Amino acid sequence: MPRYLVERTFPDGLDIPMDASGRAVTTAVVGNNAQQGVTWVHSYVTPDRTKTFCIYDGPSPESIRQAATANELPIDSIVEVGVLDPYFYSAAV
Amino acid sequence: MVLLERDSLLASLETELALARSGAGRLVLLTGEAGIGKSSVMAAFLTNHADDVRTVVGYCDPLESPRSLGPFVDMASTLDEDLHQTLRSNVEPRRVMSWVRDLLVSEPTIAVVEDAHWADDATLDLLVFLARRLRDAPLLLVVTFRSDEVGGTHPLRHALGRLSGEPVTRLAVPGLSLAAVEDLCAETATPAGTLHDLTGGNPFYVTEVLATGASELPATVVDSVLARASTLAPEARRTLEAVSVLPRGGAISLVTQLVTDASTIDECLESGLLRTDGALVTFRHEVARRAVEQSLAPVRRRSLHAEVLQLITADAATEPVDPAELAHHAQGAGDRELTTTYALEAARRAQALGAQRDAARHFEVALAGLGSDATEVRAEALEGLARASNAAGRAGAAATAYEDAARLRLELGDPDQAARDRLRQATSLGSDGQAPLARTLVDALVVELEAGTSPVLADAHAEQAMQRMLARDTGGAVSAGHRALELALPDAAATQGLAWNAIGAALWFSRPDEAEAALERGLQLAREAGDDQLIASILVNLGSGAGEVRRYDVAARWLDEAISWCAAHDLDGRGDYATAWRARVLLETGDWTAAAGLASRVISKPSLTISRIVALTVVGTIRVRRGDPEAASALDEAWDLAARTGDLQRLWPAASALAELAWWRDGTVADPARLDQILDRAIASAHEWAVGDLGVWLSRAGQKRLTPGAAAPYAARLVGDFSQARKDWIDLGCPFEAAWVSMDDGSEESLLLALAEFEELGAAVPATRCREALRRLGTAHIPRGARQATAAHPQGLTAREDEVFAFVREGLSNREIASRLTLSTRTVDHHVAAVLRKLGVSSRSEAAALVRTTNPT
Repeated sequence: MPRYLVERTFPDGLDIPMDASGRAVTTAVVGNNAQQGVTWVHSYVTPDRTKTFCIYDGPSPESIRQAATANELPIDSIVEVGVLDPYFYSAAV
Repeated sequence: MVLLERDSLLASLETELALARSGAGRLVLLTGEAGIGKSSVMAAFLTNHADDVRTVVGYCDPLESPRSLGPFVDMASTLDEDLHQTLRSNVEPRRVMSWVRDLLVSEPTIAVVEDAHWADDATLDLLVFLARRLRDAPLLLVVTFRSDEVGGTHPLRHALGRLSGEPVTRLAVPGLSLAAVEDLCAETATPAGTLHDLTGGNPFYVTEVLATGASELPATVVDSVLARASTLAPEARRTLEAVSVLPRGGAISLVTQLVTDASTIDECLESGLLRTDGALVTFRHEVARRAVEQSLAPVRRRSLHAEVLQLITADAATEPVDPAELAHHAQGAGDRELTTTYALEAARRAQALGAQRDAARHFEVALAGLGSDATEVRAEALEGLARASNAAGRAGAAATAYEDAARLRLELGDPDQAARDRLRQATSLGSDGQAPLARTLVDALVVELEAGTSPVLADAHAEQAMQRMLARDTGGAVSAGHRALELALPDAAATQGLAWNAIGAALWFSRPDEAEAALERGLQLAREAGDDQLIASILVNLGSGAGEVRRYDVAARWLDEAISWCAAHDLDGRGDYATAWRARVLLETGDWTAAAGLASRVISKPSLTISRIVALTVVGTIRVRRGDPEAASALDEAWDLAARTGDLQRLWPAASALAELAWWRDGTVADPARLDQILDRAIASAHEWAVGDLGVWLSRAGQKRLTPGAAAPYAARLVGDFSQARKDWIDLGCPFEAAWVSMDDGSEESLLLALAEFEELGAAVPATRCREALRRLGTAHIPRGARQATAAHPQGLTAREDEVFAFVREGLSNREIASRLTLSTRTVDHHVAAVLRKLGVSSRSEAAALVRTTNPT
């Protein structure tokens, strides 16, 4: 299953409170994602919370978009990515 | 018998049953290797509910060619004697499918189909039919099978693939844990750890080994079964062997006649190797039966099969036997003549019921026994094999069989039937992707028959018309079609229907205003002939033909009807093609989300190549325009598949989409030589839309080519009349093409217009190119582009904020709104703040005073 990086912009700043309502939002997001076979891995957020870079696993770019629509989340772009880690290259054996 | 470690499985089954009883029918797949205890779990579950729900079980046979509809015959025998008798006769399967369903849903029921890895095609079709119609049915349908025997190409896997999208629960039966094996070994000297390693916790294997009580553990489960069998007295051993040739066990009366001393049966029952439910004597497990049967010496096995055959045919008057079983025993007995006779009977029955693979196999067995005789029987068997091969998706084998049959028919002095066989050979070759050879054959046949009075000539012309239509030889198709109509007999509705199908489909590309009427005539005739496949074909041609010439309202209407018809009749192949075309229409009319959804559905399941080509082209084009990943991979695959067909209507869209990919990426036209070649084909076929599209691409590549008869919007574009071209696209309902023309126009005003329209469609990449062009023009203010507001709302409110706003305007407090929407007050505070911000007001009263513009869509 491909991994995607999704860039999003929230002009008013993304605000998911750290309480029950926030938990409800993230649970709903996970549920809607599952309908499309999409898994939200994690996200990187700018300090002012206006931009996020989200890592998703999903079957296709269209599934990412369907999930985003269900969750009312904006998409600036979708890029397919793989993981590269400096520790892969450490300590030549 | 005590079941170990099966509580959670039984609990899951209980959950499913509860759902089913509440009216939402469920399909459960229970899987596991042989001997893992699937039947034991089901038996326990059914016993638990014997008094509160109707339960019924059917078995698939461990035969290479099983009884067609075997498990449903078993079920009907206990529920509905009329249905039972009907299923045992050669009935048309779709007629009884509804009967079976109605029977099973008439009251809360648990229906189990065991060992579906052996299921015949008729059973698989009926399972798919049932599984697609479980909503509002109080039915728990459980299908058990050996997952390790169902690989990627197994027919059951394919049938399950057709159920993607339906709610299915999969339960796997695991092996016993070490602790459970220790429990079982408790009173014995057998080392539990070693036994667990050897058997993998397989319950049957474990209990077999423990039953032999040998000090040395047998290496395989077969060894342990045979070791146990060897503990029987010789006469009892012979009895065991006799029962082993009966694939589903045998009635006690039958087994008694097979053995010399009936008391040996009791000895076998006591040993635990055989079981009885009072009526039947069976092995404890199929694995054990096979082990014993395989161990038989060939002569002994043959004589046992011969004895069984004699006994069951003697009883045949009172207890009719499925011909598949008779054929099995005749083959086991080595009786060539009887094998042929019963194989033919079994083949006919399987064919009538739609068990095509098995029909083909039975025909092959029969043909092996018929040698190279020049007989009517052999010709019929060859024709039967060909029909079954086609229906089983093996068109190449069908073509060969039809060829042989044709030759034989000539020898037998039946030139008309020979001609029919040759015609079917040609259609089979067409299905096998060998279109050029198929066309040569039909053309030759037409020439040969034209001089005479063969009744096949009309059909040959109709087939010729279809072939020419598919090759986009419009004139040729129409003339061949009309010749077919001239020659067809007045009551040959199917022939006439096929002719009108070809004529009408071809007319889309030459005289489109006449196409619909012609196809509708064909539709009426197809309905008269009761030919479901022909009806489907015509409905699809009504839709896809209209779509190919951009008559979108007509196309959408007919495609929706085609999709419904195909779903109701489980005609997946054509249904997927219609769905792919529906996606294409949605793409061209600007609803990309819906288009991507439908096209993805087609791509994600096994489908015809042509469906895949259309769907991949749609998805790939959308990805190109949105800037999403995997655009090239989708379009490359589409092109590869299209190139293999060699058909204009596949090559043109795939090549055009690849050209678009390169164009938005770097402004060049990729592979103009290829586009040029396809343009030649388009001109030869006088296909105005293909000519236009390809002509515009070549002009972008700086190549001036004559494009006679290009469709209006393209023709206007080619002479630089951008405003006419744009108007034409808008009239047709193609917003993307209209915007693209504006972009090509290149003035600041039209670029700004194109930019706005591209943004509206979500065409991020063309929008970016527009901005670049505007920057090069030195335009002062280039709109940044509305960030995709959540949901299409004029003020950019989310759906939830919209709801909250409505209550604010009614004057409710945040606490009241929270209670109405069952949210926390804090959440509502948050939403209200967002609403105020987005509307650019600073208080609720100001917001309430705003008149909300209704959403234009």
